[in-house]
Amino acid sequence: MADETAEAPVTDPARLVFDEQALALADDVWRVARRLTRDPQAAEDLMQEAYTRAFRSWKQYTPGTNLRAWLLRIVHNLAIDNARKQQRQPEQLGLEADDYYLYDRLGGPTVADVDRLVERLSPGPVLEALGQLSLPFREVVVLVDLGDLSYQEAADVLEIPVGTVMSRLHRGRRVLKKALADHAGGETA
Amino acid sequence: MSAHVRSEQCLHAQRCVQEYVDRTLPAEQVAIVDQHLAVCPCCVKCYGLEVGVRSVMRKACDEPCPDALRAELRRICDDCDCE
Repeated sequence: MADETAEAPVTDPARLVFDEQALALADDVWRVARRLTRDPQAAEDLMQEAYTRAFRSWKQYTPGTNLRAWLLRIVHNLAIDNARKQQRQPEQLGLEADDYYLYDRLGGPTVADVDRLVERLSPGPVLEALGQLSLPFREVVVLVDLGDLSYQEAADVLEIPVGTVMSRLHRGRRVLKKALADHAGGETA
Repeated sequence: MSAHVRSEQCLHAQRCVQEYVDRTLPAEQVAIVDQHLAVCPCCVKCYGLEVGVRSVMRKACDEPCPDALRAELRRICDDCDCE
């Protein structure tokens, strides 16, 4: 009660530092949030929820540790909660593409072909395949490849063993490669 | 289908591709893979595709946080009076 009559609210300098650092990571967090949700509106909601929670519990962040990982952990927890609320059936990963699938599908490209292919590839099929991955696989791919977390950091965020991160990453990326291969193969055929 | 001969070295290279590309493979393993890549164009292409799929995805997902949302986050920050 006495606080309310204080002349000016004194903000902890550490809080100001936290605020600026957290806001500066908005692009990074957005990239991840956008791919963990079905549409931009859901991503915006997730961002707002996540930042609200972050500002409220900023004292739980240990300065000097990876703030991006800390924020992404909040995003992850909220995304999981939302998925539970929607009671989405866990989707199947769907396939077990061979490691050489893309190579085979493209009929043995040369190195120059690969470079051209990457230049020419449209993002659509990759984004679509990414969106169709079930959440446990999508999260690992998104956290490591878009959130720039290490295996260990992703494991800490998701509270799963590093080995599980690696195997999910491997299988998730394989699905993306297959999507690319099907697309590229269709184009060149 | 494929004319690619999958030698032991090729299989080893394939097992390592993820950690190699993510730069988490131990140095001595990197040396072994590099030796193989120097003589196996097929595996070089596979590694190229592994990198390629990632760069396509990163490029596809490289959209900045919308300005209106950024302003909203700033507002949420300013409104949060928790110390």
